[in-house]
Amino acid sequence: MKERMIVGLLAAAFVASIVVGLTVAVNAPPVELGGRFGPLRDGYAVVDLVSPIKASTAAKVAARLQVLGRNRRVKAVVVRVNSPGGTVAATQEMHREVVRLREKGVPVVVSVADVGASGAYYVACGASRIFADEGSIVGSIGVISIFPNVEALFEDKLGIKMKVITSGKWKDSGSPLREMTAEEEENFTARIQTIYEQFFNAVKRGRLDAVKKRLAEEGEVDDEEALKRLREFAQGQVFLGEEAQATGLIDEIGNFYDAVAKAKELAGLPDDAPRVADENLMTKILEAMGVREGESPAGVANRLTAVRMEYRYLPGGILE
Amino acid sequence: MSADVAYAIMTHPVEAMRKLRTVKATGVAVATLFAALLSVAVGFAVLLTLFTGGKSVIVLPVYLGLAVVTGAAAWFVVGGLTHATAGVMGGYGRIGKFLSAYALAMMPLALCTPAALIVLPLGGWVALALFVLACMCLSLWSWLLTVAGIMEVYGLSAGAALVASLLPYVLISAVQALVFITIGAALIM
Repeated sequence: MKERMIVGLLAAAFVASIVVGLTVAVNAPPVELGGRFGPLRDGYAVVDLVSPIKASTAAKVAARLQVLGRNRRVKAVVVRVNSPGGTVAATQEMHREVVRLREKGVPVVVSVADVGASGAYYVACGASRIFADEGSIVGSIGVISIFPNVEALFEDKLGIKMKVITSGKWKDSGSPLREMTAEEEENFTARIQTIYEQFFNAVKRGRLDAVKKRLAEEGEVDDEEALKRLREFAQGQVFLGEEAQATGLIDEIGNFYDAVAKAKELAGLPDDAPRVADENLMTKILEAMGVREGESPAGVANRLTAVRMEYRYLPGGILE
Repeated sequence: MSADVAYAIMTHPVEAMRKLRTVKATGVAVATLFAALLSVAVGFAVLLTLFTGGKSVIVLPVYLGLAVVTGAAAWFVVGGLTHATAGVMGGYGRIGKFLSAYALAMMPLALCTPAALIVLPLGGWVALALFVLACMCLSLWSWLLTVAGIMEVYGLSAGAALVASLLPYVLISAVQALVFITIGAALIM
C-alpha cells in the first residue's frame, strides 16, 4: 500500500514536470537568433509598424508593446515605422502604449523608413526620439474623412432607389445614399476638428520642446511663438526628413541602425547589447502564411463607401 | 503488481530484476520506457530554450514524436543486440524478459525533465554543464540497472554482464565507423 502511494506520487510529480517542461519549452521568451550563447542579457527589442493602421494593426502592435513592457530583459524599444497612418482609435491605442512604455522608463526610439505620416507620426510623437532618413516623408498632421455619394450611381446607372427610415434625424448622417445636409456637414466638421485637436495635443506633448529648441537656435522664442509655429506645421502638409529635422518634428537624420544605437545609449546599454524578444520564428512564418482572403467586389464597395475619419496620408493608399 | 515492480526497481533493483524472471511486467515496462524517452526529449527541449527561445506548438509535438519513436527504435535494436551478445557470453534467457528489464532500467532517465527545469534558471554555460552532468549520472545509473537486468535475466556474472552491455555499442560504433570510412573514401575518389 505504501509502495503504491509512493509510486503514485512520483508518477504525479513526473506528469507535472512534463507539463511544466512543455509549458516552458513553448512559452520561453525568444532569444537573439544566432546570438551568443550565454546568460540571458539585457537588450533592445524591435517592433514593426509597417502597414496602414487599422484595428488589427493596433491590436498586434499594442499587444507587443505591452508584452515588451513586462519583459525585464528589454531595456529599450525601437519602432520601425513605414505607414501612411490610418484609423483614429487604432492610432491612439498604439500611441498610448508607446507613452506607457516611456513612463515605465523604457526609451522608445522611432525609425521612419519611407513614410511616417499622419497616424504613424501620431504614434511616433509618443517616443523618446524620432529618426528618419533625409528623404522620408513625415508629418501630415491632420484628419481626413471621405464621404462618398453613390446616389447617382444607384439611381441613374443601376436603377435602384433606396428608401431609408430611421428613428432619429442623425441616424443616417454621412449616408452614401444621399447628399449630406449642411447641418450634418457642420456636425462632422466639428467632430473632425475635435479629432484633429487630439492629434495636435499629442504632437504638442511629444514635440513642442524639440520645436522650441530648434527655433531657439534661430533666436529667443517663447512658448506662445513655439506653439504658433507648431500649429503652422500641423496643417496637413508633409515634410521630408531633413525638413522635419529643421523644424523639430523629428530629432535626427539617420537610419534604423542609428536609431538602435541611440536606443542603446538612452537605455545605458553597451554597444554590443543584443536584439532580444523577437517574435518566435514560427509565429512569423504562420503570419506570413496567413490567408488574406480575396475580397469580393461587394467587400471593396463596402470599404470604399464606409464613412471613415482617419489620420491618413492619402497618397499612401486608401483601400486598406 | 505494476506499482510494486516500479517501487522495487527504485529501492531494490537487483531483486526487482530477479523477480522479472517469474513476474510479467510488460505494462509497467512500456510505461517506464515511454516516460523516460518523453522526459529526455522534453528535458532537451527545455534546455534548448536557452539557445532558441520557445518552440511553436506545431514544431514541438513533431519533435517529441520523433524523439520518442527513434528512442523506442534504438531501445529495441540495442535490446536485441544485447540479447545476442549475452548469448555469446554464455547467458541463457528470453528476449521478452530482457526487453522488459531493459525498459525498466530506463527509469532514472525520467528525471531528465526535472533536472532541466532545476538548472534552467542558472542560464548559460552553467545550466548546460550541469544538465550534461545530470544526464551522465542518470545514464550511468540506468546502465548499472541494465547490467543488473542482464545478470538476473541471463544468469551471467557481473563482469560478463558488463561486457554484454557494452558490446552492442562497440558493434554499432564499428558499423558507423565503417560506413563513414566507406563514404569518405568514395567522396575522396
